[in-house]
Amino acid sequence: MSNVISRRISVVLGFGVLSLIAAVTLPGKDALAGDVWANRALNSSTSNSYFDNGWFDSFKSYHGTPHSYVISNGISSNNVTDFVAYLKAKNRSGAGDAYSRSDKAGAAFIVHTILGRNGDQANANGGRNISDADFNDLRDRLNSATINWNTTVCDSHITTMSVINDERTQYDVQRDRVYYVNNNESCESGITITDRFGSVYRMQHKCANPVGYLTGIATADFNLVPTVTGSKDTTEGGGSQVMISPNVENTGSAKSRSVAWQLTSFRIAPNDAIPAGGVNGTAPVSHYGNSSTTVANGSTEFERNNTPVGVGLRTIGDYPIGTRICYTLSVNPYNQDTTNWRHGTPFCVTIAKSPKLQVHGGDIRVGSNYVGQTVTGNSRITTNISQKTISGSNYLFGSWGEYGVFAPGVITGIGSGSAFAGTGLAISDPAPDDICSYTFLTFSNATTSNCKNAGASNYGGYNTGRTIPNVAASFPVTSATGTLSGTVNVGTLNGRYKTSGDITLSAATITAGKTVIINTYNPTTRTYANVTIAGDIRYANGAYALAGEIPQLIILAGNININNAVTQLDAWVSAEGTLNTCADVPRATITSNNCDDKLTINGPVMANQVQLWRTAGSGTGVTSGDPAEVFNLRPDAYLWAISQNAKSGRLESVYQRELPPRY
Amino acid sequence: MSRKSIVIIISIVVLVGGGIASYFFVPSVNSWVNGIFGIAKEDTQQSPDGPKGTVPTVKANLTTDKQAEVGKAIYAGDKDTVVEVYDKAISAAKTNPDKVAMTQRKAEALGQMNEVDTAIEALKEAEKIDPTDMATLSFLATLYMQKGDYKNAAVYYRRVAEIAPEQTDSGSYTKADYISRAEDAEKR
Repeated sequence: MSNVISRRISVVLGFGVLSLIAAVTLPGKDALAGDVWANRALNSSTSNSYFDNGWFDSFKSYHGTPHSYVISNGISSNNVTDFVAYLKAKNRSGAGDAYSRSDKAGAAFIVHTILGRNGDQANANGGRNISDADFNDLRDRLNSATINWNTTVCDSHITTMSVINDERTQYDVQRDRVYYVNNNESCESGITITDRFGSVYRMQHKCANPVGYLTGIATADFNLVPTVTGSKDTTEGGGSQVMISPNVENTGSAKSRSVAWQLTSFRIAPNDAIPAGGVNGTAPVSHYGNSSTTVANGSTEFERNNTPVGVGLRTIGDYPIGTRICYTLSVNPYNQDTTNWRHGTPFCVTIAKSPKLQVHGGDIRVGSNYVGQTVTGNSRITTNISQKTISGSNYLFGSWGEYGVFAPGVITGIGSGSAFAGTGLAISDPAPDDICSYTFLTFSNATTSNCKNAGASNYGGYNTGRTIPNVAASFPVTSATGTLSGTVNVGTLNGRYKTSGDITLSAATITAGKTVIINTYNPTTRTYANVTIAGDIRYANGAYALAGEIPQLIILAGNININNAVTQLDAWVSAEGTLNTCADVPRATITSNNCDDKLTINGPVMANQVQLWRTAGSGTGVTSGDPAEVFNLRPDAYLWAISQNAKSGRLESVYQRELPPRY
Repeated sequence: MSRKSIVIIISIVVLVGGGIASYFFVPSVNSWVNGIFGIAKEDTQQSPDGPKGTVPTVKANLTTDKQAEVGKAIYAGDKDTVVEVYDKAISAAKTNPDKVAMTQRKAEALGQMNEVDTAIEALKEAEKIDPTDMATLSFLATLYMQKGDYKNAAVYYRRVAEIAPEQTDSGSYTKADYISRAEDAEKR
């Protein structure tokens, strides 16, 4: 029994030993992976040719002289275009003689091995006849690689050569010499091609022989990301123009092949969702829907990084507020492995409005200060100008003042001398860049007397050096006859009042003969309380027989906050803090759907800071210039002031004395 | 089923299984061993054109992983990584021929990055170790040609010619070729 077991153990051990021998003798998995000689040239005894998989003995043994050059004249290209063209020429040349056939096979061998193909794969892809597609693939891979066209390579590892036999008929058989080590090893000038994964393909100049471990050069990868940006994402439409900048970013390692691109436009109604970008096989106009139209299209080979396409001005029509005009770019294919489109995220221009201010009956002056305040900056005036085409004619719209416009800082946009009054300023197209031709009363500190020679940055810069009129000095709190608190109906008041804190003025009508002066100054804290205007405050309509009958309201406060619902405030307004025209709506939530009633203040307006938050007006067509706020200094303010002066500023004769004549 | 049959079946399973397992793991084990220093000795193969039965010496090289690392560094223009990887391998090389071979690889990589002066500097170290290594000398000659330093190129071509064979089987340059190159360089 023990003999039997021992014999069986011997058998098993024998198999084990055999298996170990087999494992060592057989090629390992690692040795095969990625090797263009796979299954052919595993060792010297099976060293077969690349295309024919046949065994050829030393050519020297045939005829005494080797022909070891893969291409007879070697290769001396120094750029991808020449390199590919050279190989193509060699591969496409007539195969009438043995040397041409050798070069043809050599060129094919180089192309296939750079593409990472073993002999079987090469034969399955045309063998010694390289297709245009393969040459294009070669070009793309080389363009994505780092190539040194003139470096040094050492011919250890593999070398390659064309075989020749006694009949000199087999030059077109590409022979490999696997792991051949030349005892006369030298290092010669050559070409190295390195891909992004670190694979290196080496060739010698003199013979075009690839040397080293040939694993091929990685596929050229491109990854195209289409985007659209624009000069502005809001516009008033009506023929205004937006610069659209479509761009394709290639984040891959190589220039793309010829890729179709398409710029598409569509319109989205207010509050409707904007379709997203994405990747699919759907054409752009179908993907985005919404009656999309093609703006431009073409085919381009996109270099790495950014390539602009189809850049241009787009004219935005007159659409309802909130409408979005969208532009988006799509590309197909977006990388080397797909046939799908990549649709970019749409860039949309929202139809919006630029609310406007009009100042009637007076100047606009900034940069002054209340008595006791210090000017902290170079105050300036900045507003928008809109250009629209209405019934075929071009117009400018914007904020404007009836008379002069003064600022110690730069004045931008606003028109003086009622520049944009009525239905806007008719202009030529393009709009004149010389604002002096239409805004006559904008004061400038230009260094030349000729306004046209002054740069835009010179409009303004005119400091009047004046303080804001000290209205409060005429109506001190010490002269107040009553104290106000809480919510007040000014229609019930007549006279001078102080306050015990912040107050709210409700809607009211001030009737003839009443003058209400509210001075919120607190002598103890030396600050003004705030006043909120919660409703319209109007002077009663006349007729008035005397100037003194004209009703008038004077509000002297810290902040004056005017609520959203107020459309008219007949008052002198003096805010040592901020005048806010839509104070009860949080600033971040203000849209064209709130604060959208026009506010008119009839009276002088003075404030340390004016915040104009109304969104009314700025309609379409001829209403494009309608204002959101109007500050109207009417004659009733002047007439009332004269009557006040007549009461308190009149000089009376209290002493007379006769004097002798002098000679 | 008899015990004999069972033993035979088990033996076949062991043989086949062991073969498959070895196929997958034996090369990897070799890689682990070689990978300790980042050095790999390539499989020694007989030249099909060489004398039957001879086994030529194969130069040392980086492991496949390290070669890829260097290749990526070359692609990225990261010279520091190239130098660092090769310097470690050169330090770890146990024999002078391996140090020389690895230095030539380093110079080859530096040459790829157009770091000609650095490559020459490296090869000068290899030359100190083996002043008669044909690859080192021909490499230096080529680099000097690339630099336009024809005087030094000629010097090194002459030195290569001294040790180059009169004839080669593989089409490599012969003594006459190198003399011709030296003369060309001297004429410039």
